[in-house]
Amino acid sequence: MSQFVYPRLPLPFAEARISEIKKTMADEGVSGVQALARAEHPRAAPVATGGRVASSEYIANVRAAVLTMIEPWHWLGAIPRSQAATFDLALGRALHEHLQIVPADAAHDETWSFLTLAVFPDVAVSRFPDMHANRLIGTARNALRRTWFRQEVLGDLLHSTDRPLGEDELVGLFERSALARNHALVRRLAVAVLAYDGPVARSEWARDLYKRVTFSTGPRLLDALSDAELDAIIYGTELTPAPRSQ
Amino acid sequence: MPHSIADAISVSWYGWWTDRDGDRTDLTALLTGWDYASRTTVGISIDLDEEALLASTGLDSVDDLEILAVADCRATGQRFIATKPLRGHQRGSTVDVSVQLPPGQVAGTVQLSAHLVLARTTSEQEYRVAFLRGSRIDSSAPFTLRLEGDSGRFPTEPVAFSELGLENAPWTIMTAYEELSDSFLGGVRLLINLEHPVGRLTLDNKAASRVSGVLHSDVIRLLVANVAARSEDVDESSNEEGSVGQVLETMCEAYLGMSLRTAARLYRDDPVRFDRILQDRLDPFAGVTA
Repeated sequence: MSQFVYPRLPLPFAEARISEIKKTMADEGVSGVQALARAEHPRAAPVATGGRVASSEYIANVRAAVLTMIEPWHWLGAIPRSQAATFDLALGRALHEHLQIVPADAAHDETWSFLTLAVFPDVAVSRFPDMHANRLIGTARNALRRTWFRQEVLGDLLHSTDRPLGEDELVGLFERSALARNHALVRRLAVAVLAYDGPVARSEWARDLYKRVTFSTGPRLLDALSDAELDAIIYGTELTPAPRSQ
Repeated sequence: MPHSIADAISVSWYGWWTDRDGDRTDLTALLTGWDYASRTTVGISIDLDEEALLASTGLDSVDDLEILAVADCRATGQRFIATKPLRGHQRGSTVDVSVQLPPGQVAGTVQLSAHLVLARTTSEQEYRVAFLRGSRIDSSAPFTLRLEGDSGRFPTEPVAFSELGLENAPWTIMTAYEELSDSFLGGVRLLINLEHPVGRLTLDNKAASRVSGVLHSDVIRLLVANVAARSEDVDESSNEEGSVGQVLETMCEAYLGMSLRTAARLYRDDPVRFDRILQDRLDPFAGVTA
């Protein structure tokens, strides 16, 4: 399947759009924001750096398809806190499946600003009703981008159990960005966390695990290691040096 | 390092090159002709002084080593690697290692680096001799390769300020970053007001030099002011290439001769002196008297 590039909304116009959305949300609630959704924005344009440009018609179809996949939540207006993690997983999967975005285009904040503020403003404010700018502008913490990126890196692992990774566990995985750019390592860490069934709270165990593995990346470069070798580090089954007297 | 690393004279890293259809050319800071559909191969060549290498690391043989070429793309959040095992390496021969930048998977800039590491985990060796796979023995200096033209320029947006509800200034800075570790290109914009005659002047190639000094010093002042207004202190250790912190750190060192932390504190504690230093170092009004 071919991949697409999307229009980009420059920062100043993203800020202006946020003001418009906030005012509408205050006056009319989520249904008013829903009416603001558009497949285009007069100040947004795709960049000419290769890739097939998503047309307005295609973008409208993407919106419809994504809303269908998150339908159970979409009509709630606000996502209940207890369902936020499940909602994020569904949203990430829906965006990943239907946007078919070129990852290089998805690397740009302005692309996500367009998708969030023009195409899916209602989805963003339903998830983050406090409308903090970093959830609406297309930075790494953006309401849509973070879910898409997690799906991009972890894929079906996210949906493989009935006890999926929690927000703390996911944030811990991705916030150490130098470690997280080793996708094989991130996936093996996720597998380990999902499989954990020990006495300590899983998120606490995960936090210690991430720290320990991050520590090992100082003297070692783990990028070329096989899954089995990564697992040996993760589970602590690697050879360890015996204490020496010197 | 918990293990011995290579003596500086034992490994020579040469410059990065790109290979297009068998034609090898030296890489410059900007990769020309690149777009999202490009499949680009970049590589580096290495010479080893095997005796000095083994003597300094305590390793038995270069056969136990491999070279990794790493293309680290912060924008797409992914690292690409290629390995070159040194098993069977011919003493004295130059080693080439190359890595592909896959189409559609990299953006903005990539940081290229190459590393000499242990290729396999062995039983424990002598004291401070590396024995775990991936142990870093030596590394090249990192090389930042710009892929997209704008990534080397200050992110600028010409716009009518009235459209954004902004006051009629010639320019301003807009920031959307939360932490200094966030991307500079994503989180900072210089807005040039198309409705202001001085703003328009900055966009006119023939006349821009008249106001560029003022603009330059204003941008630095506004960026430092923005950092100073934040309550948290500047953590100089966590600034990755391309982050707000790293870019501002570089700017402050280059233009003010001080660290970002010092500049932000000075701005907070003594803004008048900050301004004097800024004017002394940047001479913003040079264009007025020229």
